[in-house]
Amino acid sequence: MRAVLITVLALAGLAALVGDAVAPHDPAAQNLVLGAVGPSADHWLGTDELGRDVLSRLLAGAGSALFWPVLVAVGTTLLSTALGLYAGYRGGWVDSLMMRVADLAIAMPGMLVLIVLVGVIGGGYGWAVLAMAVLFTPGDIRVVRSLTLAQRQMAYAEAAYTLGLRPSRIMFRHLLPNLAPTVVASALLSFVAALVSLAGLSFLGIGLPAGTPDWGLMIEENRGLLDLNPLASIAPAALITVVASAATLLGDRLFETMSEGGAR
Amino acid sequence: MAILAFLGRRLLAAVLLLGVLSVLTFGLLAASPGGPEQVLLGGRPSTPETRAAIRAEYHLDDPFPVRYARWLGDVLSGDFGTSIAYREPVVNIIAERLPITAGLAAYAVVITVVVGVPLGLIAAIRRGGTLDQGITATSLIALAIPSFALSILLLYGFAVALGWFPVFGVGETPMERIVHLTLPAVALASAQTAIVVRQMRAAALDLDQQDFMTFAKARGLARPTVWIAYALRNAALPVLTVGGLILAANLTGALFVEQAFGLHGLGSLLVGAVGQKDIPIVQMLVLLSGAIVVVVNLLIDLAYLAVDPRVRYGAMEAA
Amino acid sequence: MTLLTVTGLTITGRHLLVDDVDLTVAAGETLGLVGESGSGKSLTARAVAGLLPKGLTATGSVLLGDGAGMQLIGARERVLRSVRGNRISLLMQDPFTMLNPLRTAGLHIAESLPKRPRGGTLREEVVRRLAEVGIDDPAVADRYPFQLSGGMRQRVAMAAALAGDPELLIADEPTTALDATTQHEILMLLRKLQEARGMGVVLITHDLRVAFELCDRVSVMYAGRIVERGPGAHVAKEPAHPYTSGLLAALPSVTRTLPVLTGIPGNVPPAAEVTEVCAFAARCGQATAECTKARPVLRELGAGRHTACLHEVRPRNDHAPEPAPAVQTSRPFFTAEPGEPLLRIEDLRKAYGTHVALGGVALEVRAGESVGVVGESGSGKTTLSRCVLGLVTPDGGRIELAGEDITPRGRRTRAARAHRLVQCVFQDPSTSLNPALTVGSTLAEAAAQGPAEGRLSVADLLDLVGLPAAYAVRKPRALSGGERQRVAIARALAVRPALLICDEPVASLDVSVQAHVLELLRGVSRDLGTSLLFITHDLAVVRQIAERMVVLFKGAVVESGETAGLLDRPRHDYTRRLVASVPPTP
Repeated sequence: MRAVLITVLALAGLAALVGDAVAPHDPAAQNLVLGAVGPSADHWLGTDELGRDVLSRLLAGAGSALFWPVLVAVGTTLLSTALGLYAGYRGGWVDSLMMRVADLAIAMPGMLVLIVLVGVIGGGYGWAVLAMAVLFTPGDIRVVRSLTLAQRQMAYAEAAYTLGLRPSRIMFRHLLPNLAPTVVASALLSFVAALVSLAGLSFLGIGLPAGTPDWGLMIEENRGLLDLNPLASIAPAALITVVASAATLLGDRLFETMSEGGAR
Repeated sequence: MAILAFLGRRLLAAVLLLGVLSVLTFGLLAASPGGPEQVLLGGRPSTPETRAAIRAEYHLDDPFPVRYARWLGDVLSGDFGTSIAYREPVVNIIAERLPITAGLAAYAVVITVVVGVPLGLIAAIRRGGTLDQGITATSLIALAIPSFALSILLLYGFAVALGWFPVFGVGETPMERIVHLTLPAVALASAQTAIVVRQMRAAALDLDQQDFMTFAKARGLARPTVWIAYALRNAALPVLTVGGLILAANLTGALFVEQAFGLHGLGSLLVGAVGQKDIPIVQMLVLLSGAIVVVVNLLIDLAYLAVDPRVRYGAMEAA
Repeated sequence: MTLLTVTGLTITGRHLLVDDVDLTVAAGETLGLVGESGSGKSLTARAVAGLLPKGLTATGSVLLGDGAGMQLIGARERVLRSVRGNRISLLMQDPFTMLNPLRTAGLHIAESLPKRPRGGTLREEVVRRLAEVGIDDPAVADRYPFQLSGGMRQRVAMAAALAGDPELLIADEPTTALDATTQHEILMLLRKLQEARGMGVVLITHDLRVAFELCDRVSVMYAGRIVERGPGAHVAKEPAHPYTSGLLAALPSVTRTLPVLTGIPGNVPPAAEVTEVCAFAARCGQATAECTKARPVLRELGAGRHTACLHEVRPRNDHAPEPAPAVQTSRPFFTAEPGEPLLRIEDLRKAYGTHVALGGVALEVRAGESVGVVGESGSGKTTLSRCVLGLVTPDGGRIELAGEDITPRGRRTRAARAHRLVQCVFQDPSTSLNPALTVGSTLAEAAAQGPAEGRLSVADLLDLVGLPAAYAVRKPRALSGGERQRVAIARALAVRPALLICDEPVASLDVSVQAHVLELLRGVSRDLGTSLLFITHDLAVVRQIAERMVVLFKGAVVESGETAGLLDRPRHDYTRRLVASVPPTP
C-alpha cells in the first residue's frame, strides 16, 4: 500500500519536473477547427474548446500545481516546528503571545480570507503562497507546541536538563525526534491543503490569467464540456484528487509507523 | 462565577475576532489596486472631476481611523452600503441569495449527521476489521478531495453519464429543489462527514477503554443509562469540539460547490463580487461569515457548559 | 456456601494470556489473587464479571452460586447484566477514572440501587449508603468526582459497587492508586463491609503484605497461571513455590534493615511460551531437568495447600545470604571528606497559587550519606527535589551544594557546575529514557557532560549498573522496566556527581525487580561514596536505603532523625499514622 502511494507521488513529481519537455503538443497551440473532441490516438485525453491538447496542458500545469504546495509545506513546517518547539520549551510571554495570535488565526475562516485577499488585491500565486503560509502556520505551531509541552515534562527531557545540556540540544536532539511523526504528517497535510487551496483559487478564476495551463483553471474552463469531452475537466479533477489522497494516506501511514517505531 | 468568567473570556475573544476581521475587510477598499476611487467608480471611465466628487462623497480624504469608525457605525446600524455592480443595497442582494446557500448548508449538515455518526460508530465497533479500514481510508480520502473536484466528478457521473440528477438549476417545487440540491449537498457534505466519522470513531474507541464504562457495566446498569448518560454524553464532548471545523468546511465548501454547480447562492455571489471588485458586497459577506463563526463557537461553548460540570465549575477549560 | 467456582479458565487474545485457572470463593470469605504485572490476575477478575476487553475471549467455566450454579462463560449479555451489580460487582483500581466525570457522587449510587425508591426516600437511601462507606457528610452526594479526593472517590465507588447488595465483590487493586494512609483506611473499610455483609470478596493485588493481612486464602499467579494456593498465614510462613519464596525474600521490611535485598533474576515470560513447562523454571534456583519436561500440575500438600512445584522448596535463608557484588569502577568519583556537609537547604519555600508546596523546609545531606525524604502525595517531596535540580524556581530560601549556592533564581541562572554535582533518577521507567536514542548514545551524551579527566565509557557505565555491554545498541523499548531504571542510574552516574537524587525510583517496579534496583543504589552509596537523597512514599523502602530520614507533611518537615530509630519509635502523630498504615511484612 505504502509503495503504491509513494509511486503515485513520485510519478506526479516526475511530471512536475519534466512535464513541459515530454508534452506531446504545445500546450498553448489552438486548433479552432478541431474544437473539443474526445480521446484519439493523437490526443490521448482529447482537446478543449479551443482545440488545445488536454494531456499536454495537464503535463505543463504539473510543475506549478506541485511546486508551490511543496514550498508552502516546507515553509510552514520549518517555521511552525521552530516556533512551536521554542514556545513549548521556553513558555513565558513569547508563548502566550504566540498562542493568542494562533487562536485568532485559527478562528478565522481561512480560505475565505485567502480568496478575498488574493482576489481583490491581486498579485497572483506569489501572494497566495505567502498568505497561505501565514494562514497554515498558526495551527501547526499549536500542535507542535502542545506536543513539546507534553514531551518536556517527561523524565527523559528533565534528565537532559539536569545533565546541563544546552537548550538547543535538548530541543533538537531530544524533543524533536519524538515529535517527528506529527511533524512529517502535518507537513504532508499542509502540502495537501496548499494543493487544494491553490487549485481552488484558480478554479474560482482568482490569481491566474485565463488560458494558463493550470489544473484548477482547467476544471473551471472545461466544465461546460462534460458532454463533448468530459475528460477535459474530469482528468484534472481526478489528478488533484489522486495526488491529494495519496499524500493524505501516506501521511497517515507514516504517522502510524513512525509512532510505533519511536516511542511506544 | 466561574461560568460568568468563562463566558466573559469567550465573548471577549469573539469581539476581538470580529474586530480584526472588520479592520481587514475595511482595509480591503483602501488596499485594492487603483485605490478606493477606482473601486467605487466601478468600471466607469474617470475624470479628475468625478474622482474628486467620489472623494468628497465618501470622505476619502479623512484619515483611515476616522473613515473606519464611520463605516463601522454604519455597519452596526444596519447600513451595509450599496453594491457597485448591482446598484442595489447590499442587504437586499444578500437576502435574495441567502435561501439557496442556507438550504444547501442545512441539507449538507443533515447528510453529515445522518451518515457520519453511524459510520463512525460502526468503524469503532469493527475496529481493525476490513470495514473499519475501508471507512477510515475513505474518510481520509474524502478529507483530501477538494469539493470542486468532487463536484465535477459527481456532476459527470450522476448527472451527465447516468442522468439521475439534473445538471444545472435549482428547480421550482420543494421536491425538485431537494433533487436539484442533492449532488451539491453531497459534494459539500463529504469533507465534513469525514471529520465527523473520524472524530466519532476516535471518541467511541476512547470511550470503550474508559474505566467508567466498565464500572457502569459492572454494576449492571440498564442499557439506556449506559448508552445515554455514560457513552453519549461523554462522546458528545470531543465531537462538539469539531463543530467549528465543520463550520469552516461548510463556509468555504459552499463557495466552490455553488460555483461548480452554477447555483446562485452567497458563495457564487462572493466569487463574482471579488472578480468585479464589488467591495461592499465582499465586506458584508466576510463580516457575515465571521459573525456566523463567532455565533456557532459561542453555541458550542454553551453546549459545553450544559454538558460538562468541570467547565461549569471552572475546573477545566473547554477544548 | 460456595459463591463462585471457576474451573479451567483460559483467556486468549492474540496470544494466550491466562492459562487454566481454578478458583472457588465461599460466602463470607476473602480470596486474595496475588501476582506481579502481567500475571493475568486482573484479566481473570474481568473474565469472571464477563467484562473482558474487546478482542479477548475466555473459555472454561465460571459458575455462579451453589450447586449447579449459573454458567457465566458464554452467557448472553442480558443474562450477565441481570447478574452484575446485584450478585457480582467489580471495584476497579483507579478512583480518578472509574467514575463518570459528568455525574454526581449521589447519582452514581442512586442509579445502582436495585429497587429505586422515589423522592425523599431515594435521597435518604443515598445518604445511608454514603454513611456505610464512612462518608458522613450528605453534601458529598451532590459533588462531582473532580471535586473529591482520591480516597473519597474510592469510597463513593465502593458505595456504588455495593448498592445492588452483591454476594460477591471483586476488588481489582482497589488501593494501589492511593496514599499509604488512605490505602490503609480503604482496606479496613473493605474488611468491615465484608464482615458486616457476609459477602465473598476476591481481592486482586500485587502487594503480598496486603493479601496476607486481609485474605483468608491466597492464590499466587505467575505468567497466566496459579502456581500456589493456600491459607494466607501458611503461605506467608512457609511458601511452597520458589516464586512465592522469591517474592517474599524480595519484600523490604519496615521493621528491619535487610543486609541484602535479593530480587528474582530475569523477566516474566509470556504465558504462551511456557505452556508445556514450569513457567518459573528459567528463573528458579532449584530448577532441574524435570521442570522443563512437562508442565507441573497443582499438587495437594494437605491443609488446603497446593503448589505447582515438583520440588520441596528450600527454606528461606536469611542468615547467610550471598553478599551483593560491589559496585566498582577504576575512575574516581567526586569525593569530599565523609561527614562534611554536602547539600544544605534552608527555609525553602514554594507555593502554587494558594497551595503551599513547601513551607520553609530545611535539610542537610553530608558527604557519603543517604537521606530519605518520606511523604504522601501533596507533601512537597517532589517539589523539594525539583528545586535542588533546578527544575522549579522556589519562592524563597537557599540551596547550597558543595559550598556553592545553586538556588534556582528564574530561568537560565543555573550554576554552571551544578549539573556535575547533582543528578537524578526519576520515577517512571517508561519515560525516563528518550525513546528515540539508543542506550549507548544516551550514556555517551551524559558522560560528555562530566569532567573530561577520567571520563567513563559507555561499557564502563553499563558494567557499573550490572548490564551487559551489548545493551548499548538497544533502544529503550527493547528493555524491561528494571533495566531502564538501571540505564537511568548509569546516565545519572555518568558525570560522577556528588549527590544522586532518587525520586521514587522503584515505585513503578514490581517487587522482584525493585529489590535489584534498591540493592544497586545501596551499592552506589556504599562503594562509590555518592550521597543519596532518596524520595519515597514507602517506609519499608526507606528503611533499606537511608541512614537518616525526614518526614514531610503538607510542605513541612514534621520529624527527622536516624531511620531505624525514627521508624521504630515515631514521635509525631502523622509519622505514627504512616507507620501504622504499613501492612505487616511476613
